[in-house]
Amino acid sequence: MSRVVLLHLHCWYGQTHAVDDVTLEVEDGELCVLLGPTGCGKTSTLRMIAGFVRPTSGDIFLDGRRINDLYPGDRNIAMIFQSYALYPHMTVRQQFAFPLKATKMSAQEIEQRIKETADFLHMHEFLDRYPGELSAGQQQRVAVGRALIRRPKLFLMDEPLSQLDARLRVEMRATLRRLQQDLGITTIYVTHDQMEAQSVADKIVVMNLGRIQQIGSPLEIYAHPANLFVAGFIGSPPMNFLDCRLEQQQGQLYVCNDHFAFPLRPDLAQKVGHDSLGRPLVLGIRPEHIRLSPEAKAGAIPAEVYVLEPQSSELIVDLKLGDLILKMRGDKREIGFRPHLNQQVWMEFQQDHLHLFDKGTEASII
Amino acid sequence: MASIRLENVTVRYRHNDVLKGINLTVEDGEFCALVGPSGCGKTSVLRVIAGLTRPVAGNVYMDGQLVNDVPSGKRDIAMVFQRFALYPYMTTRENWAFPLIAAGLPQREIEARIHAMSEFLSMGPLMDRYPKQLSGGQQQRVALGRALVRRPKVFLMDEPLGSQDAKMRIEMRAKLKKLQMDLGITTAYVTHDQVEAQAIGDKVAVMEAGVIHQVGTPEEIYDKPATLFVAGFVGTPGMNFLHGSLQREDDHLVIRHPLFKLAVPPAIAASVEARASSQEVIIGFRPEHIILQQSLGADSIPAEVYVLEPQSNKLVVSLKLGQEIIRVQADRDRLGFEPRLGQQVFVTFEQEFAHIFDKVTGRRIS
Repeated sequence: MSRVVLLHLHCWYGQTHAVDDVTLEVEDGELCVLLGPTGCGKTSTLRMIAGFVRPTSGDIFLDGRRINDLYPGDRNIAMIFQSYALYPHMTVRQQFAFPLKATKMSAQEIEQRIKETADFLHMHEFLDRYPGELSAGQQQRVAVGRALIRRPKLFLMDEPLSQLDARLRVEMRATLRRLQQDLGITTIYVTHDQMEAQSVADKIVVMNLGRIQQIGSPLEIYAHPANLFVAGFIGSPPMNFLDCRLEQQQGQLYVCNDHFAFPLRPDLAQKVGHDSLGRPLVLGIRPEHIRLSPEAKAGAIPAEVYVLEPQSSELIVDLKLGDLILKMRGDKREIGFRPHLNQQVWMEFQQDHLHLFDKGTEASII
Repeated sequence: MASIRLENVTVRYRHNDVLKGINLTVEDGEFCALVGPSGCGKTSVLRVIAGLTRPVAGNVYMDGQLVNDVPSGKRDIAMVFQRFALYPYMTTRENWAFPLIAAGLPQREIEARIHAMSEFLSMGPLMDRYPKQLSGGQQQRVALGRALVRRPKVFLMDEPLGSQDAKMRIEMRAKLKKLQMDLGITTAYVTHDQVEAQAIGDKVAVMEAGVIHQVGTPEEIYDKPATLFVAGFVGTPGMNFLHGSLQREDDHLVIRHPLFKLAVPPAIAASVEARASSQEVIIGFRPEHIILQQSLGADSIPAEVYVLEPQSNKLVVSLKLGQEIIRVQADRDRLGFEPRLGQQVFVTFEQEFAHIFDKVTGRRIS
């Protein structure tokens, strides 16, 4: 059982506030991803948990015990790095034994642990091979095995797949996720890649400028982003943002700007407070939540096909609306017609997936 | 106006054939994306077109004229590299003017071209900045502008978006595609990213180990990959491959797999049989062409949920099918149930989307 709690963590590097009031709970067996762009504080947070960096203030608890003052080696935490950092001159067996020898464990017990670990990771036939003789996937298992053999309470992973090419990365993240679930070991995982984060995480912590922007499951973060930053960071191509305002006419709320005005569905209108009326807002709609039609439709917004980008079974269509460009993404089979360049089309926003943000505070309204 | 034709071009470094007699035509005004893993020879193709690398055999034609002996500087080609190679001590304006002054253009013409280009790339307020005062994306535009302002016959780009972050890459590739279309300059574009190649190219050439596996529109290489390599390289997650054997049953040609039987459509049966070098074939199904269900249906096969990867509005499900792992990609809204780890589910292959390859030659036979 391992549970991690971070309470009001701050980290200053000179004048830079690298980590700004991070409070977070990671449950036993959970895989928690710290996600954000370069400089968002995700790696600094990880390094404070590992004990490589001392928090300026705040507390770190592992299983209810405050570990701020423990040396990294006494925290019972294992770290897996980008390059796996395997010893090139050691066989898999020697890699596994190495961290145990440092603990002065008996030779017999070391043998026993190596056997158990190799069983678990299906690495028996590879025990006498060197890293250079292993595939990337096998090397990853060696790195995990070497970390695991110490029976740590917590796994920390810093961009563990970033060195692999795109295809292997997609494959390895699934094997890594399955392995973590089989082990049931609490894991904190750092990445800048939102697709990777969605695919491996139980819980995603989106960070920017040292602060936590939102904590939630991959689905929550995608479907209900808390603010403009999260909305724009998750999903590819990213969410379209359009400046707009809300206006009331004869009891009906309209979303308007210079290019369109459409009625907001009554159930959504109810969620909007009266103070949002007339204020500068931002409409957010994901490319996959725009429907296109080749013919005029009531309530649909005319636009022009500007660029077409085939994407396997899908098509990305860039749409020109005055001086704005929006992207829509859809399955070729479901778009229902073959858009061509410069074609006039009509677009509808699926209101189930419509977002409105306050332009000033950037917080989500609906 | 320029078309490019490579005819049986071989390039050798020491004893290593990096290009093995390749043939490629880029029509006038066409955008051709060269894609493949690192070391496949794609950059060498650009260098041969540019005249920076001399082939040991084969011919290079521009507009039908043999240019093997035409030096690089006389080919009227502009190149954009991954590293922008801007002159650091020159402003945007000076970076752009430099090649025009070198070409001996009159001052008035230079000013007119620079003005037009700054409008086109929206660089107005950034014309008097130095490269280090610009963001990555802005530097990119300076590099593009410097190449474009010369109005070359041919544009060669080597991973020009490689140094941008994921979001900027998606934004820039659409802009580049639009720009190239508007200018109508024949373009060859190198990338290792198949997603980018599909999105940007009128035509995509897929390379591996010094040979071109297939040249076609993005739809062609996705819908009808010519070889196992192309099939596995294009599309994310990659195509699932299953081993089967070709058999005659009564009057029908079928492919038998231990878990299912695939009827070869009568229309192509004769050609499949004629092109197969043996009974051994590989069947390919893309993750988006496998239907996942909760309960047993006609022609469905039981499988176990092995890994779940949310991906925005999609869900990628790895399944254990006998001893093999296959991947299915489903629309979350349309799936109708929430798969759980370890759950028994049922899959149906959409047989009309089966790809059949010869196991020995790796070539498509369907």
